[in-house]
Amino acid sequence: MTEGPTTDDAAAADARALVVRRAGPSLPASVEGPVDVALGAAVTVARPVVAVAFVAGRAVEPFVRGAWSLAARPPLVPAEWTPAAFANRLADRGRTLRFAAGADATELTGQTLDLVVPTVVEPVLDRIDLTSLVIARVDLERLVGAVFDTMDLTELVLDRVDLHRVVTAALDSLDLTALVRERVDLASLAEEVVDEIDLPDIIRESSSGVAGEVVDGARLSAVAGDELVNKWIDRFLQRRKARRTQAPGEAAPDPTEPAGEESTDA
Amino acid sequence: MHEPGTGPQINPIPPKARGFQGLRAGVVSRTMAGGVDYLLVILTTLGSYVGVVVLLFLFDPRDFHPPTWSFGEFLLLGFAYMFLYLTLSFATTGRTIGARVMGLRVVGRKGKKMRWVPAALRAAFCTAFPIGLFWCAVSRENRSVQDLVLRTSVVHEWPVAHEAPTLLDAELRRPS
Repeated sequence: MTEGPTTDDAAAADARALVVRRAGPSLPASVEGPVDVALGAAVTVARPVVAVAFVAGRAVEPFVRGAWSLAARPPLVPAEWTPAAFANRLADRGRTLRFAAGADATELTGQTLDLVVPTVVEPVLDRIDLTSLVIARVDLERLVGAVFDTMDLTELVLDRVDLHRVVTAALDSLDLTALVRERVDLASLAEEVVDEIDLPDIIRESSSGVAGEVVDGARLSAVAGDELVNKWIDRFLQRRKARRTQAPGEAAPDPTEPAGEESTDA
Repeated sequence: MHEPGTGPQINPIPPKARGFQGLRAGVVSRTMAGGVDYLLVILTTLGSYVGVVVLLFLFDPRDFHPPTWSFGEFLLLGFAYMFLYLTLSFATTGRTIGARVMGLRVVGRKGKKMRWVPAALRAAFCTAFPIGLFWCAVSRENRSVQDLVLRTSVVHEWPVAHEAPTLLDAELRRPS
Protein backbone atom coordinates (compact mmCIF):
# COMPACT_ATOMS: atom_id res chain seq x y z
CA MET A 1 0.00 0.00 0.00
CA THR A 2 1.49 3.26 -1.02
CA GLU A 3 -1.56 5.51 -0.61
CA GLY A 4 -2.35 7.14 2.68
CA PRO A 5 -5.72 7.04 4.47
CA THR A 6 -6.78 10.47 3.09
CA THR A 7 -6.51 9.27 -0.49
CA ASP A 8 -8.47 6.14 0.40
CA ASP A 9 -11.29 8.21 1.97
CA ALA A 10 -11.57 10.43 -1.13
CA ALA A 11 -11.75 7.41 -3.41
CA ALA A 12 -14.46 5.86 -1.24
CA ALA A 13 -16.55 9.08 -1.35
CA ASP A 14 -16.26 9.24 -5.14
CA ALA A 15 -17.32 5.62 -5.43
CA ARG A 16 -20.34 6.21 -3.18
CA ALA A 17 -21.50 9.19 -5.26
CA LEU A 18 -21.16 7.12 -8.43
CA VAL A 19 -23.18 4.26 -6.98
CA VAL A 20 -26.03 6.53 -5.76
CA ARG A 21 -26.23 8.36 -9.07
CA ARG A 22 -26.60 5.14 -10.99
CA ALA A 23 -29.05 3.59 -8.52
CA GLY A 24 -32.02 5.95 -9.19
CA PRO A 25 -32.62 7.62 -12.55
CA SER A 26 -33.79 11.17 -11.84
CA LEU A 27 -37.14 12.45 -13.21
CA PRO A 28 -37.47 15.60 -15.29
CA ALA A 29 -37.99 18.64 -13.08
CA SER A 30 -41.42 19.42 -14.62
CA VAL A 31 -42.74 15.97 -13.68
CA GLU A 32 -41.21 15.72 -10.22
CA GLY A 33 -43.60 18.27 -8.61
CA PRO A 34 -46.92 16.72 -9.69
CA VAL A 35 -45.68 13.25 -8.93
CA ASP A 36 -44.70 14.27 -5.41
CA VAL A 37 -48.13 15.89 -4.89
CA ALA A 38 -49.92 12.76 -6.13
CA LEU A 39 -47.85 10.54 -3.87
CA GLY A 40 -48.55 12.73 -0.85
CA ALA A 41 -52.30 12.73 -1.55
CA ALA A 42 -52.37 8.95 -2.02
CA VAL A 43 -50.57 8.36 1.24
CA THR A 44 -52.85 10.82 3.05
CA VAL A 45 -56.00 9.10 1.76
CA ALA A 46 -54.72 5.54 1.98
CA ARG A 47 -53.86 5.65 5.68
CA PRO A 48 -57.45 6.15 7.03
CA VAL A 49 -58.89 3.78 4.41
CA VAL A 50 -56.52 1.02 5.45
CA ALA A 51 -57.23 1.66 9.13
CA VAL A 52 -61.01 1.51 8.61
CA ALA A 53 -60.71 -1.64 6.49
CA PHE A 54 -58.60 -3.28 9.17
CA VAL A 55 -61.10 -2.50 11.94
CA ALA A 56 -64.05 -3.60 9.78
CA GLY A 57 -62.27 -6.85 8.84
CA ARG A 58 -61.65 -7.68 12.48
CA ALA A 59 -65.34 -6.93 13.28
CA VAL A 60 -66.79 -9.18 10.54
CA GLU A 61 -64.23 -11.99 10.90
CA PRO A 62 -66.33 -14.17 13.34
CA PHE A 63 -69.37 -13.91 11.06
CA VAL A 64 -67.35 -14.84 7.98
CA ARG A 65 -65.80 -17.81 9.80
CA GLY A 66 -69.24 -19.06 10.95
CA ALA A 67 -70.70 -18.61 7.45
CA TRP A 68 -67.78 -20.54 5.88
CA SER A 69 -68.17 -23.41 8.36
CA LEU A 70 -71.86 -23.60 7.60
CA ALA A 71 -71.26 -23.48 3.85
CA ALA A 72 -68.43 -26.07 3.94
CA ARG A 73 -70.39 -28.63 5.93
CA PRO A 74 -74.11 -27.87 5.48
CA PRO A 75 -76.49 -29.88 7.67
CA LEU A 76 -78.43 -32.76 6.18
CA VAL A 77 -75.92 -33.19 3.33
CA PRO A 78 -73.89 -36.45 3.12
CA ALA A 79 -70.24 -35.90 4.12
CA GLU A 80 -68.77 -36.84 0.75
CA TRP A 81 -71.00 -34.30 -0.95
CA THR A 82 -70.11 -31.33 1.20
CA PRO A 83 -67.98 -28.52 -0.25
CA ALA A 84 -65.27 -29.32 2.36
CA ALA A 85 -64.94 -32.90 1.11
CA PHE A 86 -64.85 -31.61 -2.43
CA ALA A 87 -62.08 -29.14 -1.50
CA ASN A 88 -60.10 -31.94 0.21
CA ARG A 89 -60.28 -34.12 -2.88
CA LEU A 90 -59.03 -31.24 -5.00
CA ALA A 91 -56.17 -30.64 -2.54
CA ASP A 92 -55.16 -34.34 -2.64
CA ARG A 93 -55.07 -34.31 -6.37
CA GLY A 94 -53.03 -31.11 -6.45
CA ARG A 95 -50.58 -32.48 -3.86
CA THR A 96 -50.03 -35.66 -5.89
CA LEU A 97 -49.40 -33.60 -8.97
CA ARG A 98 -46.98 -31.34 -7.08
CA PHE A 99 -44.90 -34.27 -5.79
CA ALA A 100 -44.81 -35.86 -9.23
CA ALA A 101 -43.72 -32.65 -10.86
CA GLY A 102 -41.32 -31.69 -8.03
CA ALA A 103 -38.16 -33.05 -9.64
CA ASP A 104 -39.02 -31.53 -12.97
CA ALA A 105 -39.81 -28.27 -11.30
CA THR A 106 -36.44 -28.22 -9.48
CA GLU A 107 -34.60 -28.94 -12.68
CA LEU A 108 -36.62 -26.38 -14.50
CA THR A 109 -35.87 -23.87 -11.75
CA GLY A 110 -32.14 -24.60 -12.01
CA GLN A 111 -32.20 -24.16 -15.78
CA THR A 112 -34.19 -21.01 -15.44
CA LEU A 113 -31.72 -19.61 -12.90
CA ASP A 114 -28.82 -20.59 -15.18
CA LEU A 115 -30.38 -18.56 -17.88
CA VAL A 116 -31.67 -15.67 -15.83
CA VAL A 117 -28.82 -15.03 -13.37
CA PRO A 118 -26.06 -14.35 -15.93
CA THR A 119 -28.45 -12.37 -18.03
CA VAL A 120 -29.41 -10.18 -15.08
CA VAL A 121 -26.21 -10.11 -13.03
CA GLU A 122 -23.70 -9.43 -15.79
CA PRO A 123 -25.35 -6.23 -17.03
CA VAL A 124 -25.77 -5.19 -13.40
CA LEU A 125 -22.09 -5.77 -12.74
CA ASP A 126 -21.21 -3.92 -15.92
CA ARG A 127 -23.09 -0.93 -14.61
CA ILE A 128 -21.58 -0.73 -11.16
CA ASP A 129 -17.96 -0.27 -10.06
CA LEU A 130 -17.85 -3.25 -7.72
CA THR A 131 -14.40 -2.41 -6.39
CA SER A 132 -15.45 1.11 -5.45
CA LEU A 133 -18.67 -0.27 -4.02
CA VAL A 134 -16.79 -2.72 -1.82
CA ILE A 135 -14.34 -0.05 -0.75
CA ALA A 136 -17.20 2.32 0.04
CA ARG A 137 -19.56 -0.10 1.74
CA VAL A 138 -17.46 -2.87 3.24
CA ASP A 139 -15.53 -2.49 6.50
CA LEU A 140 -12.39 -3.98 5.02
CA GLU A 141 -10.49 -3.71 8.28
CA ARG A 142 -13.07 -5.83 10.08
CA LEU A 143 -13.26 -8.25 7.19
CA VAL A 144 -9.48 -8.72 6.99
CA GLY A 145 -9.27 -8.94 10.77
CA ALA A 146 -11.92 -11.67 10.79
CA VAL A 147 -10.08 -13.53 8.03
CA PHE A 148 -6.79 -13.29 9.88
CA ASP A 149 -8.48 -14.50 13.04
CA THR A 150 -9.51 -17.67 11.31
CA MET A 151 -6.09 -18.54 9.92
CA ASP A 152 -2.59 -19.10 11.32
CA LEU A 153 -0.75 -16.57 9.20
CA THR A 154 2.70 -17.62 10.45
CA GLU A 155 2.07 -21.22 9.53
CA LEU A 156 0.69 -20.11 6.18
CA VAL A 157 3.78 -18.02 5.40
CA LEU A 158 6.12 -20.80 6.51
CA ASP A 159 4.18 -23.23 4.35
CA ARG A 160 3.66 -21.15 1.23
CA VAL A 161 6.52 -18.64 1.11
CA ASP A 162 10.05 -19.47 -0.02
CA LEU A 163 11.64 -17.61 2.84
CA HIS A 164 15.16 -18.39 1.74
CA ARG A 165 14.56 -16.64 -1.57
CA VAL A 166 12.84 -13.71 0.08
CA VAL A 167 15.59 -13.19 2.64
CA THR A 168 18.33 -13.65 0.05
CA ALA A 169 16.70 -11.11 -2.24
CA ALA A 170 16.30 -8.68 0.66
CA LEU A 171 19.91 -9.09 1.70
CA ASP A 172 21.09 -8.71 -1.90
CA SER A 173 19.31 -5.41 -2.16
CA LEU A 174 20.82 -4.06 1.07
CA ASP A 175 24.32 -2.87 1.89
CA LEU A 176 24.20 -4.45 5.29
CA THR A 177 27.63 -3.23 6.36
CA ALA A 178 26.78 0.38 5.57
CA LEU A 179 23.42 -0.03 7.26
CA VAL A 180 25.00 -1.38 10.44
CA ARG A 181 27.62 1.39 10.45
CA GLU A 182 24.90 3.99 10.00
CA ARG A 183 22.34 2.64 12.45
CA VAL A 184 24.33 0.81 15.13
CA ASP A 185 26.37 2.51 17.84
CA LEU A 186 29.28 0.16 17.45
CA ALA A 187 31.33 1.69 20.25
CA SER A 188 28.57 1.22 22.85
CA LEU A 189 27.89 -2.24 21.54
CA ALA A 190 31.56 -3.17 21.78
CA GLU A 191 31.72 -1.83 25.34
CA GLU A 192 28.66 -3.85 26.33
CA VAL A 193 30.11 -6.99 24.79
CA VAL A 194 33.43 -6.44 26.53
CA ASP A 195 31.62 -5.93 29.83
CA GLU A 196 29.73 -9.17 29.33
CA ILE A 197 32.62 -11.41 28.34
CA ASP A 198 35.50 -10.41 30.62
CA LEU A 199 37.75 -9.72 27.65
CA PRO A 200 40.77 -8.84 29.80
CA ASP A 201 40.72 -12.33 31.25
CA ILE A 202 40.59 -13.88 27.78
CA ILE A 203 43.46 -11.69 26.55
CA ARG A 204 45.45 -12.49 29.64
CA GLU A 205 44.92 -16.21 29.22
CA SER A 206 45.73 -16.15 25.51
CA SER A 207 48.81 -13.93 25.83
CA SER A 208 50.42 -15.53 28.86
CA GLY A 209 52.09 -18.77 27.95
CA VAL A 210 52.88 -21.79 30.06
CA ALA A 211 55.92 -20.02 31.54
CA GLY A 212 53.71 -17.11 32.57
CA GLU A 213 51.29 -19.45 34.29
CA VAL A 214 54.18 -21.14 36.14
CA VAL A 215 55.49 -17.76 37.30
CA ASP A 216 52.01 -16.65 38.36
CA GLY A 217 51.59 -19.89 40.26
CA ALA A 218 54.95 -19.44 41.99
CA ARG A 219 54.09 -15.89 42.99
CA LEU A 220 50.69 -16.89 44.38
CA SER A 221 52.27 -19.78 46.27
CA ALA A 222 54.86 -17.43 47.73
CA VAL A 223 52.11 -15.04 48.84
CA ALA A 224 50.30 -17.94 50.48
CA GLY A 225 53.59 -18.85 52.19
CA ASP A 226 53.97 -15.25 53.37
CA GLU A 227 50.57 -15.32 54.99
CA LEU A 228 51.23 -18.67 56.62
CA VAL A 229 54.56 -17.56 58.11
CA ASN A 230 53.04 -14.27 59.26
CA LYS A 231 50.19 -16.14 60.94
CA TRP A 232 52.56 -18.50 62.76
CA ILE A 233 54.81 -15.74 63.98
CA ASP A 234 51.91 -13.50 65.01
CA ARG A 235 50.43 -16.39 66.95
CA PHE A 236 53.78 -17.14 68.54
CA LEU A 237 54.15 -13.49 69.55
CA GLN A 238 50.51 -13.45 70.69
CA ARG A 239 49.59 -10.54 68.46
CA ARG A 240 45.94 -9.79 68.15
CA LYS A 241 45.95 -7.02 65.59
CA ALA A 242 46.50 -7.66 61.91
CA ARG A 243 49.69 -6.55 60.23
CA ARG A 244 49.82 -3.11 58.59
CA THR A 245 51.08 -4.01 55.18
CA GLN A 246 49.70 -1.03 53.30
CA ALA A 247 52.62 0.62 51.57
CA PRO A 248 53.12 4.35 51.98
CA GLY A 249 52.26 6.85 49.31
CA GLU A 250 50.11 5.07 46.80
CA ALA A 251 47.33 3.01 48.36
CA ALA A 252 47.12 0.50 45.54
CA PRO A 253 49.23 1.47 42.56
CA ASP A 254 47.51 1.26 39.22
CA PRO A 255 49.44 -1.39 37.34
CA THR A 256 48.90 0.41 34.06
CA GLU A 257 50.53 3.63 35.32
CA PRO A 258 54.32 3.89 35.28
CA ALA A 259 55.70 4.94 38.64
CA GLY A 260 57.21 8.40 38.83
CA GLU A 261 60.55 9.20 40.43
CA GLU A 262 60.47 10.18 44.04
CA SER A 263 61.58 13.73 44.68
CA THR A 264 62.82 13.31 48.24
CA ASP A 265 63.91 10.17 49.91
CA ALA A 266 65.66 9.04 53.02
CA MET B 1 33.50 8.05 22.79
CA HIS B 2 36.96 7.57 24.19
CA GLU B 3 40.03 9.02 22.58
CA PRO B 4 42.67 6.45 21.69
CA GLY B 5 44.71 5.65 24.75
CA THR B 6 42.20 7.07 27.24
CA GLY B 7 39.66 4.26 27.19
CA PRO B 8 39.25 1.53 29.78
CA GLN B 9 42.50 -0.37 29.93
CA ILE B 10 42.90 -4.09 30.29
CA ASN B 11 44.16 -5.08 33.70
CA PRO B 12 46.55 -7.92 32.92
CA ILE B 13 46.91 -8.92 36.57
CA PRO B 14 44.89 -12.04 37.37
CA PRO B 15 41.89 -11.39 39.62
CA LYS B 16 43.34 -13.56 42.39
CA ALA B 17 46.44 -11.36 42.58
CA ARG B 18 44.73 -7.98 42.47
CA GLY B 19 43.85 -7.94 46.16
CA PHE B 20 47.40 -7.66 47.45
CA GLN B 21 48.90 -5.37 44.82
CA GLY B 22 50.59 -2.44 46.56
CA LEU B 23 50.86 -4.24 49.92
CA ARG B 24 54.22 -5.01 51.51
CA ALA B 25 55.49 -8.47 50.65
CA GLY B 26 56.22 -11.15 53.23
CA VAL B 27 59.33 -13.07 53.98
CA VAL B 28 58.72 -16.01 51.64
CA SER B 29 58.27 -13.90 48.50
CA ARG B 30 61.25 -11.74 49.33
CA THR B 31 63.49 -14.70 50.18
CA MET B 32 62.63 -16.36 46.88
CA ALA B 33 63.42 -13.14 45.01
CA GLY B 34 66.66 -12.82 46.94
CA GLY B 35 67.50 -16.43 46.12
CA VAL B 36 67.17 -15.72 42.42
CA ASP B 37 69.39 -12.64 42.78
CA TYR B 38 72.03 -14.52 44.77
CA LEU B 39 72.04 -17.27 42.16
CA LEU B 40 72.58 -14.73 39.41
CA VAL B 41 75.40 -13.01 41.28
CA ILE B 42 77.11 -16.33 42.06
CA LEU B 43 76.85 -17.37 38.40
CA THR B 44 78.20 -13.99 37.31
CA THR B 45 81.11 -14.27 39.74
CA LEU B 46 81.98 -17.77 38.58
CA GLY B 47 81.50 -16.64 34.99
CA SER B 48 83.95 -13.82 35.63
CA TYR B 49 86.57 -16.31 36.80
CA VAL B 50 85.97 -18.46 33.72
CA GLY B 51 86.25 -15.35 31.53
CA VAL B 52 89.56 -14.42 33.08
CA VAL B 53 90.84 -17.95 32.56
CA VAL B 54 89.84 -17.91 28.90
CA LEU B 55 91.44 -14.50 28.34
CA LEU B 56 94.70 -15.61 29.96
CA PHE B 57 94.74 -18.70 27.78
CA LEU B 58 94.18 -16.66 24.64
CA PHE B 59 96.93 -14.20 25.50
CA ASP B 60 99.59 -16.83 26.33
CA PRO B 61 98.49 -20.35 25.53
CA ARG B 62 101.98 -21.86 25.91
CA ASP B 63 102.68 -20.57 29.36
CA PHE B 64 99.08 -20.89 30.57
CA HIS B 65 98.42 -21.51 34.23
CA PRO B 66 94.85 -21.07 35.60
CA PRO B 67 94.78 -18.35 38.25
CA THR B 68 94.04 -19.34 41.80
CA TRP B 69 91.55 -17.06 43.57
CA SER B 70 90.97 -17.39 47.24
CA PHE B 71 87.45 -17.70 48.66
CA GLY B 72 87.83 -14.17 50.03
CA GLU B 73 88.58 -12.85 46.54
CA PHE B 74 85.49 -14.59 45.16
CA LEU B 75 83.47 -13.19 48.05
CA LEU B 76 84.78 -9.69 47.48
CA LEU B 77 83.96 -9.83 43.76
CA GLY B 78 80.54 -11.23 44.55
CA PHE B 79 79.86 -8.40 47.01
CA ALA B 80 80.95 -5.85 44.42
CA TYR B 81 78.68 -7.36 41.81
CA MET B 82 75.81 -7.53 44.28
CA PHE B 83 76.25 -3.89 45.30
CA LEU B 84 76.35 -2.64 41.70
CA TYR B 85 73.49 -4.86 40.65
CA LEU B 86 71.24 -3.85 43.52
CA THR B 87 72.06 -0.14 43.18
CA LEU B 88 71.25 -0.17 39.48
CA SER B 89 68.07 -2.16 40.04
CA PHE B 90 66.74 -0.07 42.95
CA ALA B 91 67.44 3.27 41.26
CA THR B 92 66.21 2.43 37.77
CA THR B 93 63.17 0.15 37.88
CA GLY B 94 62.96 -0.64 41.57
CA ARG B 95 63.16 -4.30 40.64
CA THR B 96 66.00 -6.79 40.63
CA ILE B 97 65.54 -9.75 38.34
CA GLY B 98 64.47 -11.84 41.31
CA ALA B 99 61.97 -9.15 42.30
CA ARG B 100 60.64 -9.06 38.77
CA VAL B 101 60.18 -12.82 38.76
CA MET B 102 58.34 -12.69 42.08
CA GLY B 103 56.33 -9.58 41.19
CA LEU B 104 57.94 -7.32 43.79
CA ARG B 105 59.21 -3.75 43.72
CA VAL B 106 61.34 -1.69 46.06
CA VAL B 107 59.92 1.76 46.72
CA GLY B 108 61.03 4.70 48.77
CA ARG B 109 59.44 6.49 51.68
CA LYS B 110 56.57 7.88 49.60
CA GLY B 111 55.97 4.72 47.65
CA LYS B 112 57.88 5.89 44.58
CA LYS B 113 61.10 4.90 42.90
CA MET B 114 64.27 5.45 44.93
CA ARG B 115 66.91 8.00 44.00
CA TRP B 116 70.51 6.97 43.41
CA VAL B 117 72.06 7.71 46.82
CA PRO B 118 69.40 5.95 48.90
CA ALA B 119 69.47 3.12 46.38
CA ALA B 120 73.25 2.76 46.84
CA LEU B 121 72.89 2.90 50.60
CA ARG B 122 70.22 0.22 50.58
CA ALA B 123 72.26 -1.92 48.18
CA ALA B 124 75.29 -1.69 50.47
CA PHE B 125 73.17 -2.52 53.51
CA CYS B 126 71.61 -5.53 51.79
CA THR B 127 75.00 -6.77 50.59
CA ALA B 128 76.65 -6.41 53.97
CA PHE B 129 73.76 -7.60 56.11
CA PRO B 130 71.57 -9.90 54.06
CA ILE B 131 70.12 -11.60 57.11
CA GLY B 132 68.34 -8.34 57.91
CA LEU B 133 65.76 -9.43 55.34
CA PHE B 134 64.31 -11.96 57.74
CA TRP B 135 63.19 -9.28 60.15
CA CYS B 136 60.23 -8.74 57.81
CA ALA B 137 58.77 -11.99 59.11
CA VAL B 138 58.69 -10.51 62.61
CA SER B 139 57.95 -6.87 61.75
CA ARG B 140 54.29 -5.89 62.03
CA GLU B 141 54.70 -3.92 58.82
CA ASN B 142 56.57 -6.60 56.88
CA ARG B 143 59.71 -4.42 56.91
CA SER B 144 63.25 -5.77 56.89
CA VAL B 145 66.01 -4.10 58.92
CA GLN B 146 67.06 -2.22 55.78
CA ASP B 147 63.51 -1.04 55.28
CA LEU B 148 63.27 0.17 58.88
CA VAL B 149 66.52 2.06 58.70
CA LEU B 150 66.07 3.56 55.24
CA ARG B 151 62.24 3.80 55.42
CA THR B 152 61.79 1.82 52.24
CA SER B 153 59.25 -0.86 51.38
CA VAL B 154 59.10 -3.93 49.20
CA VAL B 155 55.64 -4.20 47.74
CA HIS B 156 53.74 -6.60 45.55
CA GLU B 157 53.54 -5.00 42.12
CA TRP B 158 53.32 -7.52 39.36
CA PRO B 159 55.06 -6.20 36.29
CA VAL B 160 52.80 -5.33 33.37
CA ALA B 161 53.40 -4.06 29.87
CA HIS B 162 52.54 -0.35 29.77
CA GLU B 163 51.76 -0.51 26.08
CA ALA B 164 48.63 -2.60 26.67
CA PRO B 165 46.10 -1.27 24.13
CA THR B 166 42.86 0.29 25.23
CA LEU B 167 39.76 -1.63 24.27
CA LEU B 168 38.49 0.88 21.74
CA ASP B 169 41.82 1.61 20.10
CA ALA B 170 41.41 -1.20 17.62
CA GLU B 171 38.04 0.07 16.46
CA LEU B 172 39.11 3.70 16.28
CA ARG B 173 42.20 2.87 14.28
CA ARG B 174 40.17 0.96 11.72
CA PRO B 175 39.74 2.92 8.47
CA SER B 176 36.16 4.14 8.16
